[in-house]
Amino acid sequence: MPVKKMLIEAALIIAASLVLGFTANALNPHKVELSSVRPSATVDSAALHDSTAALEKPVAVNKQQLKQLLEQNSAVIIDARMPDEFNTGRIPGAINIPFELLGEYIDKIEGLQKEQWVICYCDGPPCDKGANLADELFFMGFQRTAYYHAGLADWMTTEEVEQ
Amino acid sequence: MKTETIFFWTSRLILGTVFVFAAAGKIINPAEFAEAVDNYRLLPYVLVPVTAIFLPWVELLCGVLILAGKWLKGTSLIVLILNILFIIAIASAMLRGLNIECGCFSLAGSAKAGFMRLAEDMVLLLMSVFLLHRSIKN
Repeated sequence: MPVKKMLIEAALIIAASLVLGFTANALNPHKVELSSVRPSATVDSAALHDSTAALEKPVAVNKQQLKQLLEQNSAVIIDARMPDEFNTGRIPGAINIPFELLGEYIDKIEGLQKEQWVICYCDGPPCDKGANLADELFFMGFQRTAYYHAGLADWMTTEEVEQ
Repeated sequence: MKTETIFFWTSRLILGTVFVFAAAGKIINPAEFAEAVDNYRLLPYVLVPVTAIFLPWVELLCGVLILAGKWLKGTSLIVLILNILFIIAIASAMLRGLNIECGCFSLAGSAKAGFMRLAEDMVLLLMSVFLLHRSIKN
């Protein structure tokens, strides 16, 4: 039974790799942490108001920073969820660019200024469409992109949503 | 010596060496490899650390076993599946226009995910298909 033998061998290799991998990782000074949240570069509040700040990659903002930007009208807030989700409730002032329909929203993206802050979000963990959209926009040339990873779930704990 | 036998030994030598070499850097620095995996944006983040922890050890064990000529059926099946997944990952990164490090071999100064890496993975895929076919036949 070569197929059965093949599958048993493969399963043993996978099992051994799991044991060795997790053991070695626990002992490794460069170990990777098990997490459902992507570790991200954060931005300090002063840099949010520095119009010359250049980023190497999208950064994460917290609710306080997002509120500051909203109060100053100095950022575009982008909801990365699907239109039906967007219509049920969103951060006030947010526009909708669904990450999964990015190709259909190119005109809307081209209408945005590439120098201003764009902050993307979705529901909150484990949803990572906001972070993914921020990545795509960064690659498209938006110089100051960020994402609000805690997302709408976090926003709704203390703030109103727009419907 | 028959051509098929020469190709069998060459495939084992190349696949084994490449997989051992590919695993080494990733095992030394799993955090950096996790970043390389995450840059493809193909997995939900919760699966990224697990992949970064376990995949290099799969590569290492498969490489060593292929070089040693042990468990060739199981190892060539895994290597074949891995090569298919690598090709899909690189092709999807290219289609999405992602300018990212491949994360294929050594992480320091790693090459970009592009046509060269795709071609290399296709050659490795052909070798793993042959190795699986030959090990089942025997």
